Amino acid sequence: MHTDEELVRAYLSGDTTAFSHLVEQYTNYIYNFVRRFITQKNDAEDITQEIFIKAWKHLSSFDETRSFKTWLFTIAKNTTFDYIRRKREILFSDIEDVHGEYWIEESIEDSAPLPITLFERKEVSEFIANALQKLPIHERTILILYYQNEFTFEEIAKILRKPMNSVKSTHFRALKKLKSSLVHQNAIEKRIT
Amino acid sequence: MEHEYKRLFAYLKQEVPSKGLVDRIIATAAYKNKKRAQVKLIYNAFIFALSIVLFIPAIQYLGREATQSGFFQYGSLMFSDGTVIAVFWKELSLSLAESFPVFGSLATLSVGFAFLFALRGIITNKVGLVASHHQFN
Repeated sequence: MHTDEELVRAYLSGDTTAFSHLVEQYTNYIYNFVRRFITQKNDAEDITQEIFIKAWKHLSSFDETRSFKTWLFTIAKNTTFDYIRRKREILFSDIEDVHGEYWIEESIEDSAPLPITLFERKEVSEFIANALQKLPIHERTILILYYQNEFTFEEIAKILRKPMNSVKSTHFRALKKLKSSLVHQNAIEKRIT
Repeated sequence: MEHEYKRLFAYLKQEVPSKGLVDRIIATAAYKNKKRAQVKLIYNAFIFALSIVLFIPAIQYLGREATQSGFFQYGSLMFSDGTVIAVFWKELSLSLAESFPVFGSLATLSVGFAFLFALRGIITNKVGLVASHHQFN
């Protein structure tokens, strides 16, 4: 079993199959990351392809002392955001401004646990996906990178090129909003049923 | 608190891309690799041909410059009379240095290096093109 960095080294020294291994290994992760921002399946696949082609083109300039996964996700984030900017699917200010206004009232205590009924829902996946979609893009990115792709705050700071403290505070703010949205939605649907 | 969210995110459904996506990415990379090798090959072939064409005028210019500056005459002295070198070695070295055909040498060396680099590029990219047939498989 080779590490990513060994595979990159192998590709650069002429082993052309090494790149295929990297693509096979990361396609699902990258595709899932892109899908959290791009609703269209075909567009998400095209962006995934573009990300890997960009990575392939710049593989010779990859710093082997860095983590390949972090480097690849940096490309993924930039390519996805560029696509969004081009398509103007969301407001520019949403990408640029990390400290935007809260979109939902902060009525939930931070220390309060998530309602247990939330986990018992059949459609919990859709429920979380919807709540995530409502978050500003930077906050959504941090939550996805942290909870779905298991990056550390330090790695996320490198991907987003932001200070670690800023990432941590945005993460905290994003959690509050996510929780607020989930609890709010859960309460409404409970009332309906 | 984070543990709770990790548990929550574990419920998030993983999207599955089309079956052919991986193959499509690999095929696109292979195609682009082939195109890149072809462009480099054409570029190197052009430099290679140009360096061959320029080599003759560069040599002619070097010869003319060396003759005009007297570099050949001073050089021939070195092989004609050993006693002259022993006595006048300082003057002779100075004259050789002064009459050295700088521009002619630079031109010839540049053309020579361009030739060698282009040749290296042709070999590398030809190998790359051959390899691209089996690339990423």
